Amino acid sequence: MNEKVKTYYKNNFLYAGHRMVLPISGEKFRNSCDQCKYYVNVIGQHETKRICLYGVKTYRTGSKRVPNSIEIIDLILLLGKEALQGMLTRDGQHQMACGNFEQDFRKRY
Amino acid sequence: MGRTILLCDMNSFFASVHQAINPALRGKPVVVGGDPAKRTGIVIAASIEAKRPFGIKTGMAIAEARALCPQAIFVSPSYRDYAAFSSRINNILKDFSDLVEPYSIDESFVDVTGTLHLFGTPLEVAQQIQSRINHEIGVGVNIGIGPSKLVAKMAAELEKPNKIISLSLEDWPKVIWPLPVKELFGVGSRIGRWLNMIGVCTIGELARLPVEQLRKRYGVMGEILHFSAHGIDFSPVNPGSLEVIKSVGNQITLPRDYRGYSQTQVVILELAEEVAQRARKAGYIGRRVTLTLKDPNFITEAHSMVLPEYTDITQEIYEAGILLMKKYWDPQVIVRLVGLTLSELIKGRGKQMDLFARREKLERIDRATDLIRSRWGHNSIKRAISMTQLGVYYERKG
Repeated sequence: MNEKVKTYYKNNFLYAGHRMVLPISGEKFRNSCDQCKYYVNVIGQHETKRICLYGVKTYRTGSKRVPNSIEIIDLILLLGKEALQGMLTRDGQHQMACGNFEQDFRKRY
Repeated sequence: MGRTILLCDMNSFFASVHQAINPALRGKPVVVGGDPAKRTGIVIAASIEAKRPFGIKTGMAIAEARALCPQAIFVSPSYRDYAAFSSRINNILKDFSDLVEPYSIDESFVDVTGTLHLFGTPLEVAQQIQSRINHEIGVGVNIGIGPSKLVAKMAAELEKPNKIISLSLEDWPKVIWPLPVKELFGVGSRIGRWLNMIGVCTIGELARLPVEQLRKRYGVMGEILHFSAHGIDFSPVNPGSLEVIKSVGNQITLPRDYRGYSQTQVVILELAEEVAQRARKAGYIGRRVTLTLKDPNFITEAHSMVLPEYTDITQEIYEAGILLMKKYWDPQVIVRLVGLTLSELIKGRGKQMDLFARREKLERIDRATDLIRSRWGHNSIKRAISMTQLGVYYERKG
């Protein structure tokens, strides 16, 4: 097999040439929750964890600006302790971004 | 050691997503299509219940589909939901291997060679994946198993829906060679026509064709075709294959024919905004702008130009689009579809500043717009001209 053919296979050209990806899904394939504006730090008494705020209506609808970080006491007031505990157990940091992904431009600029 | 690759192909994906979201649609003929009033009235996808008994196919006119199956439920596409489901499916696949390559919104390759000792035989892994996708996502999935991406892909196409098909290289001649040559992955309509012209109708006949003849005609691709016909494919499963973007483009079919520069330039501006914002989001700057216009007779013409500097600035992309339109099209041009693409992309934000700081000002405008949209949604800030009857893009984006 000659070098050109090897390079063709190595660079995945057979598939890259036929690939059809919607812009909206391409963005999600490329990013993880970490780059999402809804994925924020929750500051607790002893540790800081990350949580997705898309489930909170106030932030989802844009009535309130999604903060970079939020105090745990504020979240407890918003969600209740039980719901918050459930959300904190899910770790999406390295997961592929979901359909609600919104690029966090504050991190970019 | 040989590889074990799976290709997971969702069945009637768009229609299945609607059925998963709305249980009332399950088991009924569902057709996902555009809006004939906006001249996008074609079938984008149809559920299995609509495809098999009624013969509804992708690309068919909505009116034709309605005539074939009057009881079908017609729904509008919801790309956000499709992307959400696709992400969830890929996250399930990532539980079985870190080598997951999304090939399209409803297809992904998974290399499970290194994780078989954790999950069992290839068939058992496929069964686990299928069961999780069926139960957790609610859509059917075809899984092809093979020693390469090509074999897995061809296997997944053999039988539908919701099947697991394993194909080995030993079975390849018996199963794949009798198929028409156009069904071989990588054979497009042009190559298919040429092969038929020289008397090659099946994949087996292609496999027996001397490789020199193919190489002489198609170069490297000819050699690849020869290997493919024998089921040989060395392509890796590359999880990062989508990280490199070659171009960012958008096109839109207009709700009615637009006439002349003044009407068309509004659409070019809207597309420039979308394209530039997507480039900025992904962190790319580009320097080739391509404008595509389709006339009412469906004749498409595209022209491009190279900008003096790399850019992701809306105004500069828009101005390039206008320059192209005025250079290559008649002032009385009648337009049915407009497309704008930014290509020759490079990563990075280093840009040449100009003497009078015009670029800086434009960049600040774009940055402010991005931040407003990031917080309040895409439609929160619009160009005034988009609010007139000529603006189409925002209205369509909803």
